[in-house]
Amino acid sequence: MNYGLIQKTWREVWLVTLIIVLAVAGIEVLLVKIYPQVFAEFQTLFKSDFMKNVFRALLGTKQTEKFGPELPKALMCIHPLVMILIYGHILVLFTRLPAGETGSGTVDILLSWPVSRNKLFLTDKIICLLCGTLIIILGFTSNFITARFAPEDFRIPFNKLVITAINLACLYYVISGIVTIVTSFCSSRIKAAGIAFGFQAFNDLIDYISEFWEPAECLSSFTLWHYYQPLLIMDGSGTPWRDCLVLLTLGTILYIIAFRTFSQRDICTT
Amino acid sequence: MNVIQIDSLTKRYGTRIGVDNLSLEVAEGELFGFLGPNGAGKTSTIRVLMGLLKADGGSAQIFGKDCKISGPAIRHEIGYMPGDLRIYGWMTCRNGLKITGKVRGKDITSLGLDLAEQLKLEPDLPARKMSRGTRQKLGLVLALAHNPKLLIFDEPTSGLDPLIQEILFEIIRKKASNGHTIFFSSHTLSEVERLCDRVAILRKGQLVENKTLDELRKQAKKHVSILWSPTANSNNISIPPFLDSVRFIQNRWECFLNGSINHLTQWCSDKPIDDLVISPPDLNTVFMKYYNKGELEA
Repeated sequence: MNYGLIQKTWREVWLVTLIIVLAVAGIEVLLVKIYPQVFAEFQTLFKSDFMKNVFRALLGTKQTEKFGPELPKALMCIHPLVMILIYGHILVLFTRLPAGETGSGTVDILLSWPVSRNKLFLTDKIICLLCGTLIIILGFTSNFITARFAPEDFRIPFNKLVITAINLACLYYVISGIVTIVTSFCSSRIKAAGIAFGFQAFNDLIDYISEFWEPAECLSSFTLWHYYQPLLIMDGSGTPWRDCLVLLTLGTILYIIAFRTFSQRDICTT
Repeated sequence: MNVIQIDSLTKRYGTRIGVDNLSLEVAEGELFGFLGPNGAGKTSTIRVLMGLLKADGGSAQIFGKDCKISGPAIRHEIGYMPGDLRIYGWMTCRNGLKITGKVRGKDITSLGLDLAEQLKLEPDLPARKMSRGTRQKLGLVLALAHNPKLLIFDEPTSGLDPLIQEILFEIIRKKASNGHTIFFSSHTLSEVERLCDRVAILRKGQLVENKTLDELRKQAKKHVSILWSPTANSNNISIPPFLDSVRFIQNRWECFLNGSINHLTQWCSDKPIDDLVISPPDLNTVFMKYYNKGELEA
């Protein structure tokens, strides 16, 4: 690793990471505070089939038949606001190199430095992945600390919180891998972000449809959410090591392709 | 020893050719001008040298090492300033020197700040607040601060005021006199003429000339202006074969000498001429010949 490159990358990512860390931690605190108070209302809402479907789509699992405190606990780990913030973080950080730098014209200077493209890629992506991990760790830490002041039923046990965090970190790895691979082919950040967002929206749509429409059920295992189901962790149905392994393998393949593309292709200001 | 060695370099962009079978060498300590109109392939060549673009054919070597394989090692000894330079908005001269110094593994801050002072560049002004010319100055400081053996400039003067241009030229001359090699790309002849020892002219990706400036001057035709006496009817006088491109302006001929001065003076001796002016070769004409030839062929 080159210390100058680390410093350059850190300068570009620390602020957005700090903002998202604070936002995710804040949302987790709010969720821990609010859910115990609205739990009774949740139970009433859950009686309607429509709301059951909404929960199903949110949690990405069919195991929402019985309503218990596991449901809000799982929701805290997969809340749309949290996921949007995390996805936003991925889009902002991982579209920088090479698409962002090519679009802004700074890539000519960057690539004139005496470091290999491999080193540039690895330094940048490792720092961005560490920032993502930091968001997940601090978000879940704020959940854990705030839950000490909530009723016991709403406290996520430490071991389950750690497993969920690991599972979410693996999901982050894959999604960032997808964004990185798109970025490595593009010379415009907006284009890269647009394609990556379109892919993610398609993935969400398939996941959503597969929960309601039987013919699409077989497609659910091709969506990313299939491999991140906090409810299964919360109700003790199993530990998602297999899911984590799938995500890690897929992520690594994506990163290798992106790495090869970045190393081989022509990159310069257009 | 050749610092830059390019052999049959070809770079295509789809069906369009950027650089076509280009071969040239730049010797150590040489101030080499790389001239051509926009789109001639100058920047593409430089980008292949810098490892930003991969060549489709041929090879490019710097310090005897292949640009594709040994890019990082080569770039340790290169100072590069791209045309239309963009710099990170957060970068100031001071933190830019610190970061690039760490990237290069040596402290370049003090030398860089001295250069910034010469160029009248504020050390703590972030690039997002800089004008284009000021950004160019920062680019120059970053390119020069590590005292590289080879300097590659791609149209470095665009956006610089004449005063700073003069300072830049002075720095370049000083570097060259200290044995540094300079590869100076431009589409402005006067810049190259003021600085360089040798010049290569590129048109449509092909090398059309590669000579020292003295050789080019010898090759250039002298300019001749003949003022006919009012009694002479200059339109009826037949043009001799050693005068080219004759333009008739009232009772004056403006043309180029394509032969010896003796022929001209002998021919003039029995003509009703009031004045004869023979000017030194105009390099601009040589370059325009190459440029226009391309345009006409197109």
